[in-house]
Amino acid sequence: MNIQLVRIDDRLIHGQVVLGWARHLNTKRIILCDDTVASSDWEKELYLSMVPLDIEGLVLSVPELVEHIQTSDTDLSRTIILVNSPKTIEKLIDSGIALKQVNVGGIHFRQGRKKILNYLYLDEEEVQAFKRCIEKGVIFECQDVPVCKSSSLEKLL
Amino acid sequence: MKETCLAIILTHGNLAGCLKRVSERLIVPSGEIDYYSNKKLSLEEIEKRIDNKRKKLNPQKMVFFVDLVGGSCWLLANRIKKDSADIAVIGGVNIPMLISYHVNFLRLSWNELLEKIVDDGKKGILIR
Repeated sequence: MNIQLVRIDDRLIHGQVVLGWARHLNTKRIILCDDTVASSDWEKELYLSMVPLDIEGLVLSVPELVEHIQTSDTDLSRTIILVNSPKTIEKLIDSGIALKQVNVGGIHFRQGRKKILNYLYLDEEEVQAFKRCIEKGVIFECQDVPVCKSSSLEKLL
Repeated sequence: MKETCLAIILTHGNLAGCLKRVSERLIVPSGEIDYYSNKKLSLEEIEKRIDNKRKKLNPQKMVFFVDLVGGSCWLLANRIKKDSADIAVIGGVNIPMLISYHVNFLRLSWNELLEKIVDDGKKGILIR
């Protein structure tokens, strides 16, 4: 499956994605995959209002994205898929989506999370979700913006 | 303005704190402006802290000054605002806007104040 970029970012659509990655990669489409956002028209509208006019924006739940990938013949080679947690990646894999490489762009501090990198803080559940995905063959590369060097998450956990 | 107001600067990096400090060295503040950075904190953590502050102060109005329209700070401020007419989100914050807030807070009504802040912010951007 040729997806341009699959990214974990707890801020979902924001400046680093639309100004940093989408411009750098010449992206044509951004798909935000999140069950909570997808269930609220108001939240959907808010996130989609942040997508530049020359890029198509879509908000899909996990089952909708799985169906979209499995049944659609849409070319995803210029599409960024955004999720906010490794748990969503795990759900996608368990639903039959073969993800080889995932960009870890940012999960920020809240109570209970420990620092891994300046832009990556994880609680134990998230660490375990990442580890299970790694066991299933996913490679996680930490890189918040294109100009920064990437580092392997596996080595950091 | 007769109403109580919670003003918050919410930006990327260390900008919020710098804007607050610089503006408050130029003019005597009319009230406290709170500030948050999204540098390390998750949006939910910032939202929780703002919510705690709101519960403590119980302001009638809230105004957010954010740096980048379409950025995560903009998103969070708009999520808190939702449909409330008592909460305003102003994008593109600069020093003239913050000075305008302090100067005009007591003498203008809520809607007049918001318009004045944005006007003064625009007036502070010039090419010669």
